Amino acid sequence: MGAATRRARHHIRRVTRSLERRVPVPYLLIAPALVLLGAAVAVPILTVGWLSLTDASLAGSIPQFVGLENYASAVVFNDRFYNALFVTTVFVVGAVLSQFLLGFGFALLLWGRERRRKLFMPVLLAPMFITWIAIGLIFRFLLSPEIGVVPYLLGFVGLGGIPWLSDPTWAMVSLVISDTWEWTPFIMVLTLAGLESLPKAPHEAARTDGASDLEVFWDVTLPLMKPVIATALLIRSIEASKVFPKILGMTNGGPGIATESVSFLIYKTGFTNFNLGPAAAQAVTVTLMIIGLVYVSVRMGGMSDGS
Amino acid sequence: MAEIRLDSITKRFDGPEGTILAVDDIDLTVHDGEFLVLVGPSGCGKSTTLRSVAGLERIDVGSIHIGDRDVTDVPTQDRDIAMVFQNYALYPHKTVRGNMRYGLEKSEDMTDHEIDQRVEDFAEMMGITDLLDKHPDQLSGGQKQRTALGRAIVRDPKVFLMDEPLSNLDAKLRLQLRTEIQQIHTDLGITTIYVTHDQEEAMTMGDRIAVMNDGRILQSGGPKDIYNRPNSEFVARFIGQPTMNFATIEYDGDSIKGDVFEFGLATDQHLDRGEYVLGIRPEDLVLDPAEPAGTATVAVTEPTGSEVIIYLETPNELTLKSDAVEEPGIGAEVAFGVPPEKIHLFDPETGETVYHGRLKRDGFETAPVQSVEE
Repeated sequence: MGAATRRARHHIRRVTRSLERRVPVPYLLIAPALVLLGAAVAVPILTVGWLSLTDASLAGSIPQFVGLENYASAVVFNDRFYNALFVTTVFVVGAVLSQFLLGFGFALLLWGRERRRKLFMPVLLAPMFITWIAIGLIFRFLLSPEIGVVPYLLGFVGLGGIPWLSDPTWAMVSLVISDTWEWTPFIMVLTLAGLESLPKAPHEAARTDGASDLEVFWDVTLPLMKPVIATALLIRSIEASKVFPKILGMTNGGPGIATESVSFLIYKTGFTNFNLGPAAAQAVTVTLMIIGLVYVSVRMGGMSDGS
Repeated sequence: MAEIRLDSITKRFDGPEGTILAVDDIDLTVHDGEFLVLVGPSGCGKSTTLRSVAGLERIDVGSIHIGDRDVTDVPTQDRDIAMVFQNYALYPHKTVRGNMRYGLEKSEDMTDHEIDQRVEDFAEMMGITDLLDKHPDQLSGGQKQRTALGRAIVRDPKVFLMDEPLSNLDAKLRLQLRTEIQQIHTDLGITTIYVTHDQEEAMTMGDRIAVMNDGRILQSGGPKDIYNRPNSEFVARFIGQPTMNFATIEYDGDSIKGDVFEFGLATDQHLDRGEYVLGIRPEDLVLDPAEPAGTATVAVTEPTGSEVIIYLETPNELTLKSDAVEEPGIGAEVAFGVPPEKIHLFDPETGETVYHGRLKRDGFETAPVQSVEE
């Protein structure tokens, strides 16, 4: 390096330093991103927070500050909110559990089988490409007692009379089935990627140690898969707790309020009954609850390494 | 303890570029308590052979016996073998203790207390007692492989299979563990197949060596046997460091003529006139002999302490190992001798050995080539 270049570099360094002293360069550089993030995320969240403390309504006058009144009326002393929480919990547990078992099962069947995977993967992935609301409608037609193909086919084995969407329990079962149908591929793809990336050697070592196939799976595969499984379950649980389009398409929350999830309740409170303030209060409460649950499950481990 | 017998086993792999013949009709017997080293360049089929014995690969043709039992169709977990892998293959979610216990829990009828006792005894033997409650990711490479060895020996299996166990370790640790593995083998006397690509490891560790290439065993025998009487140019080139010298020569009935050397070889009833590839070990070449075969310029010298390795500037780059006190300087002109009793001659077409010098023959017999194939 010539002396001239060295001098030039030195000069640039000196200019940069003095610039940094006067202007907070790093903050200046990330400012555009921060502004964008603020507009897209922070402003809506803060607005909802503020709305939850007012008597805002879609119809009517300028919102007045009402303190925590919405939290009392729409959340704490509102049986419908508790019902929605219960419905959501049942849905999340039922749907995530069944799609996990199915998805992981499929992944295990495709694990290490190149030819099998090429053949089945596109078919198994298909549900993931369909719009959420379309899935709700598809299932509504499939299960419809008048024109549905499912009741028709089940009729041949004497099960044609199942009230798929009109009975409270069966309506929930229908929702769980449609969600499982939609999301099993996601779990499958995620866990299959996890399985394919597992080291082969410990599995082989376990076999030379005298473990049967089932024991290898239980003692080696499953513990090594723990982080992937935990991640998959967490992502799906958060996603499933926000269930909305399916309910809108299939049951509209009914019969009665039997399938009214929290998202659906918030939607109804805000946009059917025009009570924006109470809806905001419900939304804030649910968001805090989900954040809390995620925090606890992450802290409980599983997401870190497999020890 | 048991003998391992492979009868004409063949293993093919279907790859994207067609079928690969990984193991090509191998016959091999490892005697009870023997330490056999399978050695060869990468891709020669040695690991596949080992994995076939373990049952991790299913062979296409042939049969495998461990002891009196035909295990060809027996799954790995029922073969009563223990294996040590190149990348350790420890269970990452188990402690060292858990790793060592696992095999005992799976295959032995032992109480918890007996298992604990046994694990601790063998941990002490491997010098890993302090590590028993650590997880693999807290261990160094050497400690990991010690644990893997411990996990294998604690089971007291019929057969040990080791797949390049030392390849991931640094040179010093490798030497150390090499000795320890030999010690374990002496103590336990378990039939062992050890796979390596390192000819030095093979030479120092094996009771017997089998040299493989292209899915076949070219030669098997004691280390000295293979070193002194290689049955092909490939084996001669693969075993020994520095590598044997090779040169194309012409034999006219009473002398051998090469590019840069010539020496007399009394008419030998077993050798026809013609063209051959001559092979001679660097330490068998003589510096400044009474009857020089040729002269050459010194290109490089590498003193190793007790000896000096001299590279000569010749078309075939002759290497000469000498214990000469005064090494020649670079550029010096030196005379060298090729003792006819120490040469090997190979067929230039097939690479097979056609002649060993008198001192290289087994017990100075007159028969030119000893077949040491099993």
